[in-house]
Amino acid sequence: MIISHINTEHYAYFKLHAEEVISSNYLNDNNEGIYIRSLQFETVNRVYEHIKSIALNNKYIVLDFEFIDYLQANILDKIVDVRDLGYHLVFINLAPSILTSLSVKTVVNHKNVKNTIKGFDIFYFFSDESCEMYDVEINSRKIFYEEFKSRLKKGNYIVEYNKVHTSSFVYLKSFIDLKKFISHETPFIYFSIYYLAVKLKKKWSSYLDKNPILVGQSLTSAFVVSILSKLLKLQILIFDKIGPITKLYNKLDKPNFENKNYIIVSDLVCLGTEVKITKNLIEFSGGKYLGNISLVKVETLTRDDMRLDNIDRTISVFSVSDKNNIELNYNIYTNLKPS
Amino acid sequence: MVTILKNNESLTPYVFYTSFLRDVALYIKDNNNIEFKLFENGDNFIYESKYRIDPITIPLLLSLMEQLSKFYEEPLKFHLFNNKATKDSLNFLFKSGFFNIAGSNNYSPYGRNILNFDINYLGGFGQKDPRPEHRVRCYSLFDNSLKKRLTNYKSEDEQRDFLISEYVYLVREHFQELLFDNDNTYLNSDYYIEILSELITNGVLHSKSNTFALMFVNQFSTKFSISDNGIGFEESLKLKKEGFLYKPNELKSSLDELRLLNINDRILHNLNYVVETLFFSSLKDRRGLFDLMVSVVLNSNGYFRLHSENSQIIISNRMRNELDVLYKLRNRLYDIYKEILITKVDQSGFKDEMILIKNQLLANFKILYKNLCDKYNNDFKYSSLRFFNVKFRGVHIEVEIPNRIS
Repeated sequence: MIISHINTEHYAYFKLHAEEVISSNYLNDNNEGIYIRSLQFETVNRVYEHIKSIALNNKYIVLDFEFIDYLQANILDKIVDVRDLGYHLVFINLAPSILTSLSVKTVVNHKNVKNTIKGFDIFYFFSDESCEMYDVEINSRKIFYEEFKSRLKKGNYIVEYNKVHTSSFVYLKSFIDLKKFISHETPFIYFSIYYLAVKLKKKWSSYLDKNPILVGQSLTSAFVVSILSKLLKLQILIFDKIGPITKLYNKLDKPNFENKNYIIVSDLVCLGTEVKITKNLIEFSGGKYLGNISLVKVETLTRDDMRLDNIDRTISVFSVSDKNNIELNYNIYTNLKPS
Repeated sequence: MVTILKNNESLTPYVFYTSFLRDVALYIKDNNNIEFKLFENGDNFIYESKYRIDPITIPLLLSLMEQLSKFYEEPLKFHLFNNKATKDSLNFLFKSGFFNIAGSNNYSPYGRNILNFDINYLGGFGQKDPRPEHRVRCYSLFDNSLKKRLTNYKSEDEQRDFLISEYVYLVREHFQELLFDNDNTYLNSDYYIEILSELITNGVLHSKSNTFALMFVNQFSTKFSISDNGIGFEESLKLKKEGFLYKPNELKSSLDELRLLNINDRILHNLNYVVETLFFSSLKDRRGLFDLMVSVVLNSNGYFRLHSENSQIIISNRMRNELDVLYKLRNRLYDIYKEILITKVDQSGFKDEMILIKNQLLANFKILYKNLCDKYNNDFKYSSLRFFNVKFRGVHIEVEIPNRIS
């Protein structure tokens, strides 16, 4: 299973770290989560077999080496095998520690972009004088965002609704059926959760050694939480008593909340009502709320009004905002007349 | 029967090669069978006796005993004692997994039916436990359907790459915690995990059976020991075909002619084959044993002890000058290989330079060899070469990485 393969207009994209995370945590018994930093032959070989088994429309393949600090010896031979299937390779995010293993000095290309830490942001693994790829922007976050958006649209996961929101006093023009998205969009959903884990690690890096607990609060978020817990080596708490019906329908268990840190995990945060309820429950019980994350969030406020340091700001891998809500046919409205 | 742990004498790899192997050989010669006793004084002199084993000897013990049990086609008799004097060593061996691997248990880690002992002696050890990571491990192609999975890869090089990556995951699980305890290995843990995996891969591929490994860390250094019962360097080299650069026995035959050491011919041949193996490895288009060994010394100030049959070479900082030269030549050759691979240019353009480098490597290996022999002839006690009369089949490697702070 290759989770990170994304076809764009000009090239096919693979994130090798995400694939290594799958190799080490799921295909083998390592429990390193996303903390793994070395790339093994098995992973590159899986990518090779995958490319060999399908016909790619593009002749360019972008291999993203972000978060990889070490390469197994002789792995270059397999990478060259990928190239020799008939493609041009472009490497992005090369750390300085892997340049020798990739024999980068052998390939002379003035278009290659060195970065401030003496690695390469972009490394064209060919020496052609001119090439259409030289003018194409390659940004891994954008590639992922566009792919997420196009899958949402293509799979018709945004469903016309035009009814009252189940937990807040607003109307929804449509709703995003993430349950269906999770069920149908494998293996891409694993790549999305991988990205969510990366974001969580970055945001709360100073707290991770204090073992914060991931809180799931619905069936779909329990699915997300279970994978995140494996990828980040964190414990979980499932709080499935908060519905979209804004009430507790069961007695709370009494885990010891005192002096523990909690991160709330959702599949989708719209107006954040459930997150706030869960946050209150945690804080009332003596726990510390660090923040919340979600696969998808709806940005109803501008980023100036909901700043990065705001504890209630959701960390997500995909945002519905003023930039894309019309394209996605998503809106929230009230009965009041817009001025 | 042969005693393994003698009173007041720590069983180190050195003692293992020099006296223990001899004891075993003599006993077999006299009795035509073999039986072991773990503690010299058994249930006698329990207040006067003290036993100690250097943990990195455990893979060697298992490897030797496995060879013997295969030869006699049955698990070897192994007598245990559990008393005040033996308790700590017995506990250490027990917790290190020695008895699990040597015994016949049919749960993981699976017993390999090497020894026949009474499990009733194993218990009542008290509270003191060694670290759970200080455990001897057994690797084999018969585990995890590796043998079958290897058939997915056609070329031998790819099979090696696959095995190394497979062992990287296992070794990480088995030994990573220990690497974090040494500043030197902590910063490059992925690199050391790969070294260990590569050595294990060499072992299982050559031996076609079990390879034993153990890592041990204390405040001074991290040591690991890998031992297999394989065909050894000489037989492996015979399988290598003549190539564009490598001519079989080119270095060895010129070393044979030099005859710098006054030792038994068979042992000298054995040593020359070890050097020939390193030369062969330095000519390859892929990173391998030579690169790994030199980088342990040059990058980590470590020791690399390589034992095969009757000889042992200790590669260390004392050879830094010679290794530096060899490593530079080797890296230039490797770079040329990669340039040919990446740019797909015709090899013939590089032919002259490659042959030149090869000849320089050959000459410098001879220089290294001469220096080693001279030192041995001057003072064999402190030499980097050691020779043993009893042949110990297979390849046995110990790597020692000093702790940077110490």
